[in-house]
Amino acid sequence: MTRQEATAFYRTHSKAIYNTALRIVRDSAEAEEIMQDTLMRYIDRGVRSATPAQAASWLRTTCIRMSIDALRRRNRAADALEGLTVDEVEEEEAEAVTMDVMSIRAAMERLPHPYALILDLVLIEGMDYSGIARLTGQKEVTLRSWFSRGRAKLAKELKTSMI
Amino acid sequence: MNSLEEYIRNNAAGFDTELPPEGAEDRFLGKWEVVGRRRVRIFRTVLPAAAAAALAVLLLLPKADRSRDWLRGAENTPEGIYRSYIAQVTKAWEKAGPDESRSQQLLGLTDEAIPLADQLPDELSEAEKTAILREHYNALLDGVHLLLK
Repeated sequence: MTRQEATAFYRTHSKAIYNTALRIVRDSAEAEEIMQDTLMRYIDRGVRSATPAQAASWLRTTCIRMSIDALRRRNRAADALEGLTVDEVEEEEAEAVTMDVMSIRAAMERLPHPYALILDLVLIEGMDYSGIARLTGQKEVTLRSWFSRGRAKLAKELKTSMI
Repeated sequence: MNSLEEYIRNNAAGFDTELPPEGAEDRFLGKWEVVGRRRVRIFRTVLPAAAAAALAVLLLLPKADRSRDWLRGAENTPEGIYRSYIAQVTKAWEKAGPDESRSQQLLGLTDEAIPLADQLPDELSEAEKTAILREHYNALLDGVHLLLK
């Protein structure tokens, strides 16, 4: 890979990978480090002949894994994945809330970490529950419960922010 | 699926709004250059001898008696073999789950600072390269599947 190719590779993938990491670790410097490590790992492995879609998929999966590992290293996993105390949240539909990306993004950032994490992985990253279960070590039924409650919390948060 | 959920799914790409911090691209290119220099150093010193030895061993060994060819569905070219290998390693990572020691073992088993495909002499034909890569990556995948059993 030439310097020009490396630059093009960075410009193609860095923003998406950075945002994926940022949503999980919620720290700009750490997200950048994960983004850099993910991109370098791809280059270092010499995975050059993959199609752009395969490359993006590999990068996304690796970035998510590294971001969750970073949470574990910071011992935030205790809050984020393992010792979750689930609040009782009323299931409520979100039909009445105004929907735009910036409001939802801001509302997700205000959610407790486990809820934001599961909503992000399922809805934005498009992962299935079995994949998340393998990544986090949680049972699928637990993840579905978190998701359901997270979705309700998000709707509530959006409604509150409209008032 | 409620409308909020549907809206987020349909607009997932729109959530990537943040730009990496200033200077991130320069820092990335700095790291890239360090890795490049390391590769050149390996190519010029360790690699020629190691590659020749590895090739000799691979060519002299009788063909392994394989009950499973993990790369059976791969395109029969060096690139095809390597793509199939990487795809299977990626799946293996997903399957390994959060177990740190297993991930480390998997990384140790599959991580190649320089892929074998890049080490093979140009004098070899595509068919010879393909055969060598198939043998090499099948052996690694034997280990991967054993590890994840």
